[in-house]
Amino acid sequence: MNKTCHYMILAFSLVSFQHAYGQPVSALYDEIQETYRNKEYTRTVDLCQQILSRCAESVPDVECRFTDVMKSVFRLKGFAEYQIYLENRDMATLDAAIISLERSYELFGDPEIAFNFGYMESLRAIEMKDGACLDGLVHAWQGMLGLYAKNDWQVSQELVDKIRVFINQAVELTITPPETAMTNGLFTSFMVRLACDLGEKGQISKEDSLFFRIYRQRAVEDEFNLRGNEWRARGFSAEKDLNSFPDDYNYRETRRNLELAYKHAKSTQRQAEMLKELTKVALFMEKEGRNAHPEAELQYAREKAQQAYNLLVDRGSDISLSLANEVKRVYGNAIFRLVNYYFSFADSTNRLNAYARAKRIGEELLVPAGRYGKKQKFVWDGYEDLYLRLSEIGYEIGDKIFAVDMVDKAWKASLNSNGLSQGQLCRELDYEKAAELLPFARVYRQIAERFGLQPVLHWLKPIIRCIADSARAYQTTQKGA
Amino acid sequence: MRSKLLFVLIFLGVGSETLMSQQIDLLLEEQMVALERDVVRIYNEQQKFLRQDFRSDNELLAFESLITIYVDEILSLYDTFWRIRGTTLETQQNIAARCLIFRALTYLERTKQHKQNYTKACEDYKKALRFAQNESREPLLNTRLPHEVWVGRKLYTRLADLLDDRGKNFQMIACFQITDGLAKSGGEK
Repeated sequence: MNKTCHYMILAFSLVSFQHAYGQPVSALYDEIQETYRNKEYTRTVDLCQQILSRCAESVPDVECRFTDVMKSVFRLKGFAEYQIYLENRDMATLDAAIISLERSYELFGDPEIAFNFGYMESLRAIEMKDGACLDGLVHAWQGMLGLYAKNDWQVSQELVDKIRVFINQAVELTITPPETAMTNGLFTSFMVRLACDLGEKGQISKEDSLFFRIYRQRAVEDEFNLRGNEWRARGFSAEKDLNSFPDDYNYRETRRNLELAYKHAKSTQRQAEMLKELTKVALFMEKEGRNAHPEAELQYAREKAQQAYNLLVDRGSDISLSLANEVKRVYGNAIFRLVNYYFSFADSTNRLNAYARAKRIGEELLVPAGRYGKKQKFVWDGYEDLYLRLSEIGYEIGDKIFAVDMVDKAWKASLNSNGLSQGQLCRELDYEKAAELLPFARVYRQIAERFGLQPVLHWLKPIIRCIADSARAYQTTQKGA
Repeated sequence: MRSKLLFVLIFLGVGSETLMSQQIDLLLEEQMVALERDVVRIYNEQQKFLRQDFRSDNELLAFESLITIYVDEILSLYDTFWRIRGTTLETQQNIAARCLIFRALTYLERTKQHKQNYTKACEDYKKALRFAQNESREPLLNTRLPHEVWVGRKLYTRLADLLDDRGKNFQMIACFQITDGLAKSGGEK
């Protein structure tokens, strides 16, 4: 009984061995194609391995000498390994797939295969965050050029699709790793331009045409800085999401992308633009954000705006006039909002401390003007409000010189921004302007009263009367409407 | 009557075949010209890259591999012409020669890091001179380039001037007196 059992096991083992290793290469080859078609990828790889072992024997089957068979074995092995990689995300499997396809390419030189293993190499580089590995792009391009030549130098839709994949990978690669990119991105920028040129040689759809136009523009702007341009584009896109849903995640995403765009910017104009955008985003978050941290956002906005303004001072000629105005506006706004923030603390915390902090922040924008006074470094849309707030701070802390200087500047600035002259004020004044001037005049009167400025009060009295009349009339009309 | 018809048919057949072959020649030559333009673009781009402070060997290698792909494609077209006609035209020889010189110059950018690049550059240079060898016409190096070549802010319109740039002509001349020592030192003087 025992002997019979032993023989049975031996016979079974022999049959199994015969089944696995006894098949000729031709039969295995047919089976591989069948299993690959049936999406049995692990079995495909196993069978390919068997063929390769058989072909490595001292007397291999005749099929091992056929290039067509062997290139297909490597090709199917490579593609099956890639499918397995897509399931298990194991880098070793992706490496094996690349090696298999490379072997297939060495045997036959099929450009399609070159594109595929180039794609996989770039994919590996992106996954491993190794932006310096550019081999994949070169191999994929070699494949695409080969396909273009093979198709009688015509660009087919299939090639256009491959070009789009190539461009997407080139962009991903150029921003990998995000923080410490190893290469300067010029090569990838060039490859994108080359790919766009090739893509546009064919009859392409509107969508493809738009795709190529956008990516060429991104590759060309800011001195061919694809990396910086891509982060900028991602930053603006995240900013749109932030505007519609201002939560912490969207805010962090937007800030990170814009900061990277700033880091990789090549021109002063681009640096200033990104700093300005970062300021805007932080100010927006402070105002509209869910769970925002007002002080942190405002301090951040102030810091970025200050950097942008410093660029404007140092290298102003490299920055366009419109951007320069925007930088001034956001800087002024950031300071004004931060001053307001600390000013509002005076109700709840240490009053004097809050006012002192607010004054210190406000003074960042002030420079000496004349013998005693101070003025703002630049004129921006809303600069009169900052003067007014600073004068109120001066009033509260009892700093006469500062309060009077600021309220005087605030008054003149409000007249200036409303296009009015003091001499003919009551004659020129319309309702809307009167309403805007009234708070300035009132604060002026408050300060004059507190510090006993009789001549000012004497001069201010008729002015306030006519402003108040005009403003009252305006308010009545508004109510009536 | 029947023999006349046969004659006309044969004539038309031969004629259309010639026309088709001419069209193919034209298409291939157009591609050679287009590929040469791309070779110059790549060379210009690589020079722009070299001017930047941040120098990465990976990117230099990538430019080198890219130009190699293009030059191989041009040489394969050149071989095709040779196989079809048994001879090649002067324009085709010049395109192949110029592109080989551009590749040789590209190889020279990385001789310090990769000594074998100098040998490759020499091979390309010698092959280019063989392609352009013709005593009856002006030397290729002195003829005007079909595309502008920029190195930094300098514009080059002849290969001879480009080779003179940064003493590359000496490196190339040294190819002809090549010894093991020179090959090892990358032909630097």
